Amino acid sequence: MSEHNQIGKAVPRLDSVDKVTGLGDFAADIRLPGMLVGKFLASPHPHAEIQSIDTTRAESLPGVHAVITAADISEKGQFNPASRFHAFLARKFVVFAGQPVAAVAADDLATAEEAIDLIDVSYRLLPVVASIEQAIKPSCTAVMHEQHGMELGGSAHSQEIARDKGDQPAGQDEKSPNVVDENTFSFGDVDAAFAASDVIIENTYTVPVVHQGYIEPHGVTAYWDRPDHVIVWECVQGVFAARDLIADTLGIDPTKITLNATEIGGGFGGKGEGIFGPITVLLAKKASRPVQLILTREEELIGANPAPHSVIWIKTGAKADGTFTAVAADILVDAGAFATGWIMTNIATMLRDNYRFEAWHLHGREVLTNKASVSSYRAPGAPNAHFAMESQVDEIARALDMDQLQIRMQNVIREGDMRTTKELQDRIGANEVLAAVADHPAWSAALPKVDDEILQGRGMSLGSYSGGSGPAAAIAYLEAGGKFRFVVGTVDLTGSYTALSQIAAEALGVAVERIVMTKASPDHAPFAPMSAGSQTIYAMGAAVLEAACDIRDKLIRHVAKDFEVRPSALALDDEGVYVVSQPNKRHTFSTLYELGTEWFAEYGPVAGVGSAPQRQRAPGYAACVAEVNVEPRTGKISLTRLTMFQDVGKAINPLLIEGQLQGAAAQSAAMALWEELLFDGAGQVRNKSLLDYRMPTALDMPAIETIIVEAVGGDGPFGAKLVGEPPMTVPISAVANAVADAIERRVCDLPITPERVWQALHG
Amino acid sequence: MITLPLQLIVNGQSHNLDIEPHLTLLEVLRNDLGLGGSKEGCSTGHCGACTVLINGQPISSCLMLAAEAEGQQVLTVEGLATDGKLHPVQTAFVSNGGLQCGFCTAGMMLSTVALLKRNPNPTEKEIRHSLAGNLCRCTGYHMIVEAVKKAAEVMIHE
Amino acid sequence: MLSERPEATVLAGGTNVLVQIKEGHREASALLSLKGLPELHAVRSGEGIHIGAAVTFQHLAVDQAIRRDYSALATAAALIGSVQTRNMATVGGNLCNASPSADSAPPLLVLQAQAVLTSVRGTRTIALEEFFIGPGETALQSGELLREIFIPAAIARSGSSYVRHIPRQAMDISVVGAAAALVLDEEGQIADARLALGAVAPTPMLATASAAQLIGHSPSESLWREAGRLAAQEADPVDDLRASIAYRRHLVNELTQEALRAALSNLTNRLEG
Repeated sequence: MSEHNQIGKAVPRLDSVDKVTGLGDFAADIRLPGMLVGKFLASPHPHAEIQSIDTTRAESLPGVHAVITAADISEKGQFNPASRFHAFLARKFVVFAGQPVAAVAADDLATAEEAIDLIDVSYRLLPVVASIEQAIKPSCTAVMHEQHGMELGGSAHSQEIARDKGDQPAGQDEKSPNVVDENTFSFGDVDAAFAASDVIIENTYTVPVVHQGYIEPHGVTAYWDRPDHVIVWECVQGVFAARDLIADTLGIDPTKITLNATEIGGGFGGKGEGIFGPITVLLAKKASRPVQLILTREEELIGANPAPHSVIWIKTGAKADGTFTAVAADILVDAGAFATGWIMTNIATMLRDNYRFEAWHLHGREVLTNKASVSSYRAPGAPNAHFAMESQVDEIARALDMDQLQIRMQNVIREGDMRTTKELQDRIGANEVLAAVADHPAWSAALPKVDDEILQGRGMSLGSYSGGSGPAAAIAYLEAGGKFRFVVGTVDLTGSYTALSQIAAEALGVAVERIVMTKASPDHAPFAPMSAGSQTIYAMGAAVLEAACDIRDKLIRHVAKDFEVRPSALALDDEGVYVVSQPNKRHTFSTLYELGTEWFAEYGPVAGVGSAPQRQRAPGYAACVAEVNVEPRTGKISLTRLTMFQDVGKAINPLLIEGQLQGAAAQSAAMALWEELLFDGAGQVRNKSLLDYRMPTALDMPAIETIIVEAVGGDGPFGAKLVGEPPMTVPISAVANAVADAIERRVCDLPITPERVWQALHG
Repeated sequence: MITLPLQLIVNGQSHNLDIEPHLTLLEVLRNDLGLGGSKEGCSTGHCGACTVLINGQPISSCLMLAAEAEGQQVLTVEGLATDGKLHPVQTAFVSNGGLQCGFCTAGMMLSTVALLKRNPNPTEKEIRHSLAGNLCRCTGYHMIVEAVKKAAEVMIHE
Repeated sequence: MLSERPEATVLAGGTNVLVQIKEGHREASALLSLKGLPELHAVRSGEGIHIGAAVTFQHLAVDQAIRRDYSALATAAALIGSVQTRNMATVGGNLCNASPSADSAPPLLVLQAQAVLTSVRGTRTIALEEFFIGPGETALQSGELLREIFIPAAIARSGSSYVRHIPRQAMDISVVGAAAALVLDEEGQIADARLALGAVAPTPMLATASAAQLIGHSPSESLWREAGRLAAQEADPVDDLRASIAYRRHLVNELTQEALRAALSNLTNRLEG
């Protein structure tokens, strides 16, 4: 191999210097001459029929350049009534409070806000479907109007975890119109298995709606630079998905849309395809001026696309020796006003897959309510499933007086075991992760000394996530100065550009400084999947690797011809291509660039391409050990220690990986202890500011220790496995288990607030 | 349109502006002075992304009318580096992984600068306490705290 | 100025007023900034302490005299919000916003604070407990401004404290706040006591019955428990998005006891040095 080993180096994110000096354009930093401020009018009602919209007063306000409603949407635009994306401006019905009904473009924010107030909408109120319990009643009002074929969701990044849709449930007649996806996954005889169990634990676990919490709100700028061409700048995770969304909804040829991803201030699944793109593009068209639309935090908390509320009833059995026997579950997922078609299946098929069971019966339903519809949030559905199962495992261990780690090691799923979808488990690093926990003082050391009245607890959890894996392509070419430019359509969420640069450098045998990783829109880069689903390094890394190898091969062929040697006699290092037996006989990369680009060139410019198909892959495994202190008088919880373990296969960049584990740890722990979008009985969000939507501060989080495990398996570049999502699955339950350890009671409803702890202790 | 003449001193430079009185300091910094490094995350003073220093003290610029900053020394992220050389806090954040997406970073670093001025050798608890008004969603704060410790170390020895 | 534009909203730190304007809860055609009035930004000692309405919480948290002699207030000032909030938010703004959960209110109530209100018509001083009328409502008349808070001198054998409960470690609005002030006589018995609660009534409130029964007794855990029990009964909390009635009452009980312990501790520290 080469002497420059780039893989495994803790390289700081390459965009760091720009970002610490205030450079780098985020969505709201885009500035264009004549740019107008866009704002939308949100429906105050969760469910209503729009009888009329009068925009005259708004249009006459000086400084207003355009007012749009759904009437302005071209006939060429697709419209599937079941799609959230196609409902970017409500047509006949509003189905969640916060849904845009109209929008304006004005000279400044104050004028835009005033114009919004001048739009007169007449609504006929409809019954509000405010909760799952209400929604599943057969007699309940239907949330979805204008049933339109069987197409669900329209989500551009459906994550096909399970292709097997399971068995169809019986009793379709008595179904509520709001149950939009229903499946049962069954194997073996659960009744017999429960009958043969020595311990059975049954509980119902609820996880509330949470917001992805990115600090930068959604933002879009659109500018029609020609009558038939629009340039869009948007903070999205997938430029191709965002472009498709605008093309589909507005009936525009996608090659007439230049979709630039701005620097993104966090996404975590909530900025996949940019739900506010179409509205901004439409405003800009009507105003004939560039328009920038940035959401307020309130608009984010009310009307973006949060993570789903779920109610999971689960029953698990085990033998006296700790062997798990059967699991039964009824899973209800609240999708909000538009179906996803995948979130319930995600949860149902993840619920028991970290462990081996002899029988299972898992029934799941995705349900609609009049709330903002849900989308992905870092390992979508996985925290919900893991909270239920990992709490159950804890309870079984407690009932059998067994060690929490031991019971997991005993029952963890193994290669070749059957999963919920009846596929067989591939090779995974679960055992290695559990072994790392066993070895670590976070698990084995005594708890630190505290005041007598404080209750202390330690909990652990195991988790996994498969992620998605879209296909990806990259192009590369030799550049002036002997550098290598790679053009990719990937959005850099997690420092992937740095890791991709390392992969390219490693493949070429050069220093990472020789790599110019260029972020490009679909105008210049070939297809890139959304930066989501922990697939960026897996998919785009493979494409970059292939493109790098392609260039490398071409350079070797050219030099072989030039030096009249066999290709196998040549190698690359940071100084160029050289004859191995005569290292001084070489061409520098600069020379090779010149040779390929000058008049009377020996060969054409050197360019390469890489293309990686979509592939199924094994889940990445993680574990967490958490410690908490609980003040019994108030129920207040302090998170005092967090240790994260993860099998990443091969650590391309340990610094970036640790950052991912730590960030996910905070988000997941926050679901356990603090975060919840509270709805009243009428479908309205009660906590629409960051004062009462509580994200953890620096004082709430402890130091986070991270242990990277590198277990062999999978076919990612250099053996890399997925990084970003598996860690999201574990603190949520490790913290819950730590609290259970401290107070010796199980709180099954998240977040575990001080009040809930107090109720558990004194109720 | 009513406007107000306003003198702002930002990063050591004086600016004479004529602005609408209802504009916040954040809006004027970003839109009138072209200093886009300070960010808006919530506009209600809860996220800290808009933090700038006024006379060395961290404030939420989204909650201060520009008019109220008249004649005060305002420091934004753009004023941290001197003559192209990064401030030790900036260097520490870069090399210690103290940022991922970077959106909270300007505010985080300015709060850090203020902290280290009043407390050059803070404990971990003191660091976290001082940064409690700066929300970060990407890092979980661990590497931010490490970066602050590193910066403190470097600055003590300067 | 206020007499010319009585409808003008007074702007101190902006941490309430600007948020309310942005969230659409308040319309203001005119804002009157207090930035240019130095006397409102001053803390002045003399027969007690005069705190200008525009004094920030940061100033109160670090002021030596306040930390030494009015611990409840210094504690509250250091707890509110974040560093950024404390650098902007003012005691006057906190009081005039008149949220039932205002953190500076219970401490000032137990410290027997008086509100000095001024207008072109003249100046009047009222006990702080009379300043709060209802949630968001104060005794300020049209054209009147809160100029300063006056706290009587802290006597030798006295101590005060403030405790509150929030779900995170910072940034939250208090779910319940409790302040206590104690005066001991030379035999170590309680000569005077005041208890005040926040976020459990339409306004910050004095728990008079609970405090009254402390007088003439020696401090003890059982005395504090009884005070907590009575304070929980005196409180009149509601169910809201932050807590239930039952939980708030429970917290009143616990935090009252904690505040009393801490006030005694503060008293002892003040005596010793």
